[in-house]
Amino acid sequence: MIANYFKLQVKILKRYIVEAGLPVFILYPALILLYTVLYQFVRLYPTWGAYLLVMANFQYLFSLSDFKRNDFLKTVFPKALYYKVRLLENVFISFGSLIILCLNGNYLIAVALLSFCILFIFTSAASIWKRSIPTPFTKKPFEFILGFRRTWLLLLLLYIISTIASTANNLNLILFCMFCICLCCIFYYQTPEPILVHWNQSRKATSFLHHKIGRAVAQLSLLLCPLLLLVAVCYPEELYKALIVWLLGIILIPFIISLKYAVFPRAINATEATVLSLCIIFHPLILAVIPYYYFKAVHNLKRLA
Amino acid sequence: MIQIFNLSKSYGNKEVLQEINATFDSGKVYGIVGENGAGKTTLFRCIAGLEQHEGVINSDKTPLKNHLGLLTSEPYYLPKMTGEEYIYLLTDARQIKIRSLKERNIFQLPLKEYVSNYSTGMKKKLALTAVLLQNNDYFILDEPYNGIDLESSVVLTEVIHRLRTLGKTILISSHIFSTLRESCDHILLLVDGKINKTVDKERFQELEQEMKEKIIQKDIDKLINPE
Repeated sequence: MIANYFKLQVKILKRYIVEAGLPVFILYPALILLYTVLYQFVRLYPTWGAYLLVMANFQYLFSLSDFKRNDFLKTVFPKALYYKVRLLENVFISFGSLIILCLNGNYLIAVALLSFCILFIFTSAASIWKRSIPTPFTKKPFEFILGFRRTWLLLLLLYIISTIASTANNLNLILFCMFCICLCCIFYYQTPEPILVHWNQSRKATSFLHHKIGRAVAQLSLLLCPLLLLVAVCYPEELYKALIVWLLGIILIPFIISLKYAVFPRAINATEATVLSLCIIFHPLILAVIPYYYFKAVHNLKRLA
Repeated sequence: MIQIFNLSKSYGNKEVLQEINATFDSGKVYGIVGENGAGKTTLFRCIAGLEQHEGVINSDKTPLKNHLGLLTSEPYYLPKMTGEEYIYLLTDARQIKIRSLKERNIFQLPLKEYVSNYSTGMKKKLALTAVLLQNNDYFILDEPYNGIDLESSVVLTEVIHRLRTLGKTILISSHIFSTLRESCDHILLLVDGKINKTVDKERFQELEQEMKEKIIQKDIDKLINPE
């Protein structure tokens, strides 16, 4: 029974790969490559890398613990099997990261990750996901509202890490957390809304894009605000560094919104995701790419209107 | 006013709408009836600009889409979104500022809760509230009475009457003939993608009887007395 369930998961995963326009055989080499890169990353940046790895896993564990999904699993499996399935899922997801953390000697962080794996088995029972999570963006829908609800635990973790970093006099870690928040917000725009939702829009193409960008800049700034304040209080002479990170995040906003609406109503595909990754790695590239996607988005939205 | 000239729509070889000509005046309520697959929803989608089509659709306020409130038979909701946020999403899209949403929540919906926790009827009422708050001039209500309770259907009928007195143009489709009889000024019968007839209020009963005899009785006989 459990074996069938996991075989089905692999099938679904393969379908995602095919839908992204990639060959299925790429799955296993890609996984090996990913973990090798992650291993090197954690080795090069022992503190940052380990935290990043745990946070990425944390996000996955969080999404796997979605109450509707777990309610469904509970109806499929008997109670004991359900817990077994959930534990196996969490461990499979985190297995590679656990090995990397152990190989790099981050045993304490590995134990923390393993604890998360166990803790997240029981989260749906707490039914905290059923309640609507308040956001500061209620009247300004919708990407930040939905994104915030998907990642609020991760955001909370980043704020906590930053607070701890300030007591340990580690400015770089606070800056890193700020950049993680920026990246988080970028992913809020990865899924397109259904065409019927966009149909309601009465703004013209350019005005719609400007409105979206302006709002997203304000919303990202609001999320970064506590950390900017933290840096301003603890490291006033180095506030400019935090402002640079904020600026880097702000630059990403027009890029991702233009990219989303340049390809709308379909989702961003593998090629566009590669461009996005390159832009995140080599930030100045964004400035060159923004005009291209911006005009493409304007053209596409005009066509859809 | 909405005017339709020679509207046709095909999906591959299948002609869903054929040479539709109709005028929908301001301050009037039009009911669209027909069997499943007769083309009602496709007609609505064409008017809303959601489908490419042949023929012309004109309106006194342009672009029509920006003045049209569309209530689909199964409204779509984004996951992890509260009722309140859904209303703000739709009103913000039309650049309308809503003050005191609490007072305008006439269906007493739990607006702070996720829409995914709503019942089918509540979802319909939420979509209707949002569409009404958009201040539209034209309304397309596809099966608005489906799934809603008796009290709300009375409220909905009254809302439609009020919209008519405000000079709005309203198109409704429904399988519940009694609700159309109460709310509509004219009913258009759609058969196989064509407007078979347009009936005024005085002849609604006649049309209902005719539809009952033609569709229901024939089908019931097939099921109960197949020989």
